[in-house]
Amino acid sequence: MGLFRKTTAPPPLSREEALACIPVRNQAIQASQTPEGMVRLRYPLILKPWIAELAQRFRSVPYTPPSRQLELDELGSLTWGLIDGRRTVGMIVRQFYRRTQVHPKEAEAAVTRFLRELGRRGIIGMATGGQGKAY
Amino acid sequence: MTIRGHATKPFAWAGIELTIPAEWDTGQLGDGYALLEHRYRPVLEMKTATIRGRFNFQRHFKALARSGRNRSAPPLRLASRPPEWPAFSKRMDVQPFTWQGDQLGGRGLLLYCRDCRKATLIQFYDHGDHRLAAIPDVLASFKDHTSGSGPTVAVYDIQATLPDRFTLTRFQFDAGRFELAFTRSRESVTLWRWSPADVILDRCGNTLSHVARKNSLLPPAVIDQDGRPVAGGMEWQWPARGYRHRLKRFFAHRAPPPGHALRIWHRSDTNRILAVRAEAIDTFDTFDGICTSYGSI
Repeated sequence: MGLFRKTTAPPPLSREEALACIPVRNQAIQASQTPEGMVRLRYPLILKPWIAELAQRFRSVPYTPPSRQLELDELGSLTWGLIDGRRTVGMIVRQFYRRTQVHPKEAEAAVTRFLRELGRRGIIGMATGGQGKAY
Repeated sequence: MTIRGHATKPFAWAGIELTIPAEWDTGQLGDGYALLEHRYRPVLEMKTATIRGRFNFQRHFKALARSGRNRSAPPLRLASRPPEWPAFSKRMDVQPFTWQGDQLGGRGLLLYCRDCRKATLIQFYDHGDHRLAAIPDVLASFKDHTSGSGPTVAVYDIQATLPDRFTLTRFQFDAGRFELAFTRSRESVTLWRWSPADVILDRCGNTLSHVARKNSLLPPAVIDQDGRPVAGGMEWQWPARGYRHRLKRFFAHRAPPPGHALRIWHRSDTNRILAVRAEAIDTFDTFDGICTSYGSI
């Protein structure tokens, strides 16, 4: 029976495939610049569907999801500036270590952790299956 | 120095020294373990351990080869030494091997040195390209006990040479911050490296004293003291206050008392901040030597 068939998770991406992904900014994000030159992001909070439904029922005015602000530091602002919808993760890592002079391995760890955090908050998405080069 | 026309750099970890192509990078480090990469692909893996008791080639070969491998890993096949590989000292037992998986293969060897009783397994990943051409020269540079000439540690972009018998007891490599702690009897030496220096200095008011204080490198007794300026940085020295050190000072009138010292400096050419702290060190010349040897690759 198809109803109870166990769904199989897609195989995890290899490291090269992950570095060839292209980060894409969420169009709903409002980015602004602070007086110190850092990037400030305003992003809608992702609620669980049942919480959003409950909020909708008990409100008289149309429901708008709450938003949060995230202020990036120098390195975060630099990485955010490198996300243009064309560069792969690997290219961003390479640009990052060229500009900051950190070790390539450190750049990879810092950039991938930062992108994962942005993805978790729904600020960026990842385009896979492209022909982008990892390095 | 070059390997077949390519630039090289030193690699030293867990008592093993190698000269590797400059484009190879440190991938992962562990206790007696290192994985080197080239363009995000593994290229060299090394495991080493000091053998206690009697060395049994078959048993230790199986143990070293098995650790860290998953159950579906392809089996290792013993092989004869390729003619282009270097011949090792007669005090070393050497056994080359190969393995072949679906998409990846490898070749390597197990070495056992009867002098230092250290068994080391080195394997090179075969991606079917030029990377394997460097094997003979990398193996020819293999050293498994201190020669006194090479660095004690040379990983990622740092290298340092410590006096004999200092052993690595703790290490942490985070993005932007490296920390390595060595001990010898009651002496201890800790190395730090921060990057990128311009961002860190900007956050700490552009002074190295603030970097030292913010990272708790100074004890409360000297935290308010101004350090002595040294080339490119600052240095603090303070006496050891424990009862053991006081007794030593009392009974050994002529010997200088053991002390603690911290030096932190900025390398603007590589955009790094480096620091060395020595505790209960007998002579400050030793501390000075460590600081001089500590730098970027």
